[in-house]
Amino acid sequence: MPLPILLLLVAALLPLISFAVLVFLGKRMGTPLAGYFGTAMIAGSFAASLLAMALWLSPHPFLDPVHHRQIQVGAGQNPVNIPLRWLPVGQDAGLQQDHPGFLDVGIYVDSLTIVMFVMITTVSTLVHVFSVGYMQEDPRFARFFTYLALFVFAMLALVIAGTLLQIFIFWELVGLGSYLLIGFWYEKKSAANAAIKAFVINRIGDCGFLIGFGILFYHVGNATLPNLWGLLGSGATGRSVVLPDGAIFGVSLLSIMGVALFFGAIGKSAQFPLHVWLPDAMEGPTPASALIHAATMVAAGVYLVGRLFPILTPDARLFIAIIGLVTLTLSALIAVVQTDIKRVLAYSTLSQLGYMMLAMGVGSWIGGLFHLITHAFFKSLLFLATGSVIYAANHEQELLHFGGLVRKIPVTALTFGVAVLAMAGAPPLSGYYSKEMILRHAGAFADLLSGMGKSHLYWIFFIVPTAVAYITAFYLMRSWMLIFWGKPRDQQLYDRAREIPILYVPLIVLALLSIVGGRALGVKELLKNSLKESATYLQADHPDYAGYNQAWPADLPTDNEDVPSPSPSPALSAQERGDHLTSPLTSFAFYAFVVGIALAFLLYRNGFTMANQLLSIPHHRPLRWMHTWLAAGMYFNELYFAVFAATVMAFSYFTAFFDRMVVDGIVRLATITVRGASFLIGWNDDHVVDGAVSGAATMVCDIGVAVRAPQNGRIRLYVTALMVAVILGLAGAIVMVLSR
Amino acid sequence: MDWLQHNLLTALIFLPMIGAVAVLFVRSNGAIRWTAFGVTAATFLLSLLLLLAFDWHAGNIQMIQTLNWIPAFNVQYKVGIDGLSLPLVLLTTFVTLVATIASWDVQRMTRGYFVLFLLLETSILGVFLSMDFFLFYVFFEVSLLPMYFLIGIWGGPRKEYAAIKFFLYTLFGSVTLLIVLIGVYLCTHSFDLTILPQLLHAKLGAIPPATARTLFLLAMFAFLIKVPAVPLHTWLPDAHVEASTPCSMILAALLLKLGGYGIFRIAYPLFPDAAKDLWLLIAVIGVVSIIYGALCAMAQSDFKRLVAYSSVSHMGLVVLGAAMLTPAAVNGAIFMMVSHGIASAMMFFVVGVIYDRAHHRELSRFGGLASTMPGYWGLSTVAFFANLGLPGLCGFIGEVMVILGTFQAAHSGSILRKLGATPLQIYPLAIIACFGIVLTAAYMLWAMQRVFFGPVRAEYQSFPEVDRREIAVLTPLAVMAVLLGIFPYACLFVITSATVVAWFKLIG
Repeated sequence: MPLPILLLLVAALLPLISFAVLVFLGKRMGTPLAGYFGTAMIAGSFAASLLAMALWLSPHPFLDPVHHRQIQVGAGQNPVNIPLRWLPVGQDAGLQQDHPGFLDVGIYVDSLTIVMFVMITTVSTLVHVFSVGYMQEDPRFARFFTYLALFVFAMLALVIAGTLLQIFIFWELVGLGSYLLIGFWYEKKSAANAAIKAFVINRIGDCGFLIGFGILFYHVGNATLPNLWGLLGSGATGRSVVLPDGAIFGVSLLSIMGVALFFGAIGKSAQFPLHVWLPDAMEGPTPASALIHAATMVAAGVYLVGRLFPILTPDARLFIAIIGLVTLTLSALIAVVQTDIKRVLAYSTLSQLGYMMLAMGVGSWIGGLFHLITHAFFKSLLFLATGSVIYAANHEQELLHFGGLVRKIPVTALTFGVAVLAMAGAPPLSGYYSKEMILRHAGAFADLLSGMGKSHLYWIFFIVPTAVAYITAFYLMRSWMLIFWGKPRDQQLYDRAREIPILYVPLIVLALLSIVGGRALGVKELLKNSLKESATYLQADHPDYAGYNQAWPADLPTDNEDVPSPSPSPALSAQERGDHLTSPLTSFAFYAFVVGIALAFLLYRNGFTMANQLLSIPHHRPLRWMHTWLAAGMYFNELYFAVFAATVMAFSYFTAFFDRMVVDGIVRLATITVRGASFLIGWNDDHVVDGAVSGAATMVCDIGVAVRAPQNGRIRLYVTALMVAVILGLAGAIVMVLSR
Repeated sequence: MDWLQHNLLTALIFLPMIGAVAVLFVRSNGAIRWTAFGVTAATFLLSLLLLLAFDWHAGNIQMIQTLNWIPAFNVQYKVGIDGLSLPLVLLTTFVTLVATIASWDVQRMTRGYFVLFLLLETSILGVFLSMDFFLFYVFFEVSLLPMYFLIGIWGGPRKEYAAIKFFLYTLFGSVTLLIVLIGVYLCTHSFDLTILPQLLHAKLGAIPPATARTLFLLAMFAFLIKVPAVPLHTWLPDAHVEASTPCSMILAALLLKLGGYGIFRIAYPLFPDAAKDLWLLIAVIGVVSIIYGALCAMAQSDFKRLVAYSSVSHMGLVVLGAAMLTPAAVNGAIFMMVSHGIASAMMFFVVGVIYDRAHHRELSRFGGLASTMPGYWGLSTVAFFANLGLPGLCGFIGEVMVILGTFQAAHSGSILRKLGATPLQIYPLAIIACFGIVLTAAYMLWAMQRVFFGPVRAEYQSFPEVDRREIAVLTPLAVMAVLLGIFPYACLFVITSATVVAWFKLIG
């Protein structure tokens, strides 16, 4: 196995070892040793990932276990694909089983995997360092690091997964990590409720995933990623796929499969309509929110869509784009009025994930994943900085109580500000590049489709996200202003506020990454390599493989510098036109950060004063209604509770009632009938037959007694009953045999 | 070694019975416990020898030992083992050993308790190892008696009612099995399960399909009561609630498997055509059990009743898996039987631990135990998540394989499709079964929240942490749950694969 792969495996297994050690010894290690141990292990994981990335850049020879040929693996060459047999599902299950008769797990490593590894381990290491300081007073300090280690292991194993089955396995395990960390302070009812809510809503998404996987599985029989792309890649053109065994995988079923699989991503990435768990998940400790609910796990949905991208039909992609669009709009609006700082960030995460999904939907594969990486840096920075604020403010999270903290915690204020700028899309910070790319591609997409004579409605995929970019800058700056600017609204809190180095050193590192992540780190180039690797690998098997390049029928809305185009396609001219047309349009998005930040600065420079004045103007009643509506998260929680939770509970109580009264009732009725009959027969025997006992009557009576007597605990009769039954059976058999 | 190999199965079946006799002659309660423990441990070790003697690559019935019993009716004492029985035999010896440790604090009539306990093990092993239908039936019936007494004497407040309900209900099922037994004999003049499928197949002309279908339904009736499937399940919650903790473990882990095993050993191979004709009925029973059991579990306020209904839900997957007749579903159903054996035994013991301390099982009265008993919470977490099918633990494999296998039946090459089933019949089954996993997660986590989370309650503050004996029960089960979940092939499928292939040849 090539060295980079071994290093990645080491990187993935170190957190598992850390978890195993901390489970048994964590309590004995105590504070802060358990934290140091966990941090050291994850730092080792980070070092291994970094080294793996460095080595990956040069090619390594590798004997491909699937095709049995010698290939060069490395950036821009070939990926590593090693399937391992796991579950026996029968030989006739499908077509492309690398191990006949088995459903595989396995590893698949390309540049995307490497990028994800480095990103996850970087953020994890910084979060660990931060947590050593943040959690030091918690009595369950060691347990926190145990859960973190479990989560990091599952997350790394998820991104190295080579088959959909393995993705599903670790998909659920990261959900477990999330469940445990959200419910970390389980004494609080709200935390325990939020944990269950997160897990169950994720399970609803996973249920969809499983349905999609089932449809896929019986057609194809295997779920190794390259096999899927090769077999079903032509589905991306919007035509039915003819499988090698002659069966036809219809295009509508392909779309249903794609949408069902995407439901897994809707759950995990908290997209509309399953987005309600993420704001509640803020009950967890803030470092955990930074790692799980901002940088890594919630982005797994985007990663999944990235991996499934070639097999998604145009309809499925349109669905993804619409979901992304709805999510990014709703949650940005809600974020504007939230007053709990962590909830603002939660809704902003939703919104940014919506951007990524939108990018995937409009065919901007690189844009979506690029934004995933940059977002991981600046959003975990935002969360950790918030953690630092909360620590400084002695666990106060309401914006109402902050104000003026820039003078007390300047490093936090500065790094928070960097994150705000990066996320608002100020050049040359990282967020600018990724967001600009998404918007440009969305514009090209709309332009192409409307140019092809389709509806002009497709322009909403460009206009709305651009408008939301203004809102994004606004609500982020609002938070910054309300925390750090103006006069202190809570003098006592203000006086006690302080920051400590173990908390702000990770912030500085993340701030640097947020600044340079756009250009200097070469993320985009690595992502481009990932496309090249998959295409190279597949073209040996499927010469006509076009996969990533056939995002939309014949017209791919991407800028031509980003996707290697193996054959000049008719799309090229359209792409150029798209680029040409959209560059003036994207400049609208460019000014978003200036306008949004300026507005927020003006409105909130005196804390809530001006905003409250605005709301209290008498004829602004609709504004107040809207404010209430948004502050309550558009009442999705209430709606879902009334419609789904209450229905299921009512149904379950009804079922239990039905079970007791009807199903069991019939059984009891039968018993009563038999007992009654036996009593009648017994009475008849005593009083009517009156001594003239026939053999048959005795037997019937005995049965009656036998059934009734056990109620008195006369167990002996039961043995008799059993014996009688056996003997009767035997007698019947004898009679029947003899009579033949 | 040769002698051992020849007599191993017989030794395995009757060792616990000899142990039961030995228990009769031991004086003190302590000695009785240790004798019982020694016997179950020896049985477990003996069953491990099977792994050495068993030919893993052959799918046929092996290590057959035959003695004439009632020559007039061609009844034999015939025992044998294949990849279907072996995992269940190992499960039996393992769970019984663990349940013996769980029975350590039985104070009342200890001697009688352990005698019955060991007899129960003999009868269960007898069912799994019999290769003669008559012998199977005898063991199947005999297994009722010890459990009847164990519930009726050592049970809870309504023990008599529960014991009688359990006994009569399952006895009712046995009667229909008896009819099948006689019918099969009349047709073939043989009880030999190793050749019965072929004999019946050869005589196919002799039995009209309607008769075969009736016999199949009668056999399924007997086994579905045992499984138990909705609507034949109402004996189970009552039996569980009244049974003592170790008896619940045995009942859920092993006695329910007699039904599942019967489906795979008797009902399907003997009447494959009827089984294929009636697949939709069986599949619907399975799916209804999954959802109905889960909904009932969600509404329970008694912790043990909740777990009992979750058994109904999980065993529904076994029924569904059998009905779909695809390799993934059948493998998954067999896995589900073993994994449910581990996970439900663990779950019932978790309930027992808390019942011993609180003397009630009302979920709404618990809370905050995660702080009081962190070690107990840690081990319980494994049980809860194994039951709700978290990947990495045993419940996941069976669940996902049955669901995937159900989808697999929609493949144009599947047995059901060849019989004329349409994907539109199969999809809804699979999709509804999928919804089961959401309900399972909901009721399991909700139960966990009510027991463990929230503020510490004053009345439970002094509860002692799990003691060494309880850890000795929970740890082996937890280890098995993890091993089965991570290495399903090495732990189970390596044994069953060849047998499942052979099984499909019988089904055709």
